[in-house]
Amino acid sequence: MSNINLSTEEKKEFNTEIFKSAQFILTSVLMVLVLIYGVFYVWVRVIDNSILQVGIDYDAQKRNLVGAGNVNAEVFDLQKRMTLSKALIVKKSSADIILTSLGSNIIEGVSLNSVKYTAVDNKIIIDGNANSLFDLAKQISSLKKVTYFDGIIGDIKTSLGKNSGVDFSFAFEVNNLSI
Amino acid sequence: MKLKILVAPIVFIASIVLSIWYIKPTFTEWGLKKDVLASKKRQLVDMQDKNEKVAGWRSIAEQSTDSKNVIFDYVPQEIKEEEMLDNLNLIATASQVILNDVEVKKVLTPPNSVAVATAPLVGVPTDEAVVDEKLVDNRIEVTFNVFGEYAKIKDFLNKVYAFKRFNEINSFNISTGNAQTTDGNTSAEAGAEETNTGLLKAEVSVFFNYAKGDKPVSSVNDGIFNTNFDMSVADSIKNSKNIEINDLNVGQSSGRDNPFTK
Repeated sequence: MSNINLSTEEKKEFNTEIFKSAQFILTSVLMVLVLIYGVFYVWVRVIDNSILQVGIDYDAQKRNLVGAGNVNAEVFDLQKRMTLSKALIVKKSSADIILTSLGSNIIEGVSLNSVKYTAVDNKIIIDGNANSLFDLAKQISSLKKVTYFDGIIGDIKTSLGKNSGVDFSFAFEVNNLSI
Repeated sequence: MKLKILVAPIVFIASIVLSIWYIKPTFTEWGLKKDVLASKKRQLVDMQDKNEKVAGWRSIAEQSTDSKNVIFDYVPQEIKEEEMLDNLNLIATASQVILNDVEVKKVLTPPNSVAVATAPLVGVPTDEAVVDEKLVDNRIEVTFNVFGEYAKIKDFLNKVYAFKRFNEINSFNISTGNAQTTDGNTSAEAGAEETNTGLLKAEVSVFFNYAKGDKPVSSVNDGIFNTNFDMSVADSIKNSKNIEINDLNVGQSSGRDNPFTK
């Protein structure tokens, strides 16, 4: 009777090699992963320390810049004062503009009794006396040509002059004083 | 020997566990912290730049004492009522007008106050709120009457404008009626005569200002750090204002036995 050997020695050796290779590869992968983890872990701790150090430096710089009792308080005050001054210095002399404009545009036959200026509503109220309504009309026309006067606000009031001529009163809007 | 067969699966599972529960979170943490560090470094650099900028400002200010004084005279830190009274009186004398009925009043809500807004800082991300610091421009109203000729009143108002402390005319009313003559006559009949002599009365309201400067810059995001430190405004003041502020000196005349006598 002859025996039939079903076992294959060659296959057995092949499976063991594959198993060993797989085991080696997997172990290597695990080692690499452990290494990667280690590197990242250390790196994160290093970054933590850097953040802490940068934070300390930042706080020190901030204290130096705006902290209580810092040396910059006076220069900040000066800088703000200069910014404020720049905004204020551009303002022209309203009195000079108005009085010069009036002085050079009051026509013959007209005299003023009062000139009232208020900055809050930017207007001048003029009271005066004209020899006639014709002179008053010429006066209004003359004032309308002044660059700084926009036009008449409200009513023009006239009455017979106490001594002679026509007493009048009207208001002008003033502009461009701060240009 | 049979246990050896378990090594590969255990190593495989360990790799999976290490990847999911340790490496991935650490990697994510690393990424986040790297960004945080980069952001903090940017803020630190910005802070260093600001410190350098302000150190430069201090250096310029220390070298420009004269210009600094001009600016602090133009917008003083205190009201200095005595300065207003003394200088208005001097200007009136120089302009040959009579100054009378002077009142100094604090203005609670300045009608024409200049708001000096500063732009908020842009660029550097930060968790601090942006604070818009301003120098509060407090107004003082000084009202008075001036008597004199038209040209002299005009000269007086121009000199007040040219005074080296900020001021602006709030209102004026120049009239011929009820002008007070030098002998104190205020009768209405005097009006016609006054018109002839050219004597006028001006009721004037002038705003002066002061800014305490006691509001410190407390935020690193204050708009002041975006501004340029330009002291040329002192030259503008010097060039456009030529009436010097008189240095009031009390002298040795204070102190007397009876304060009700002169």
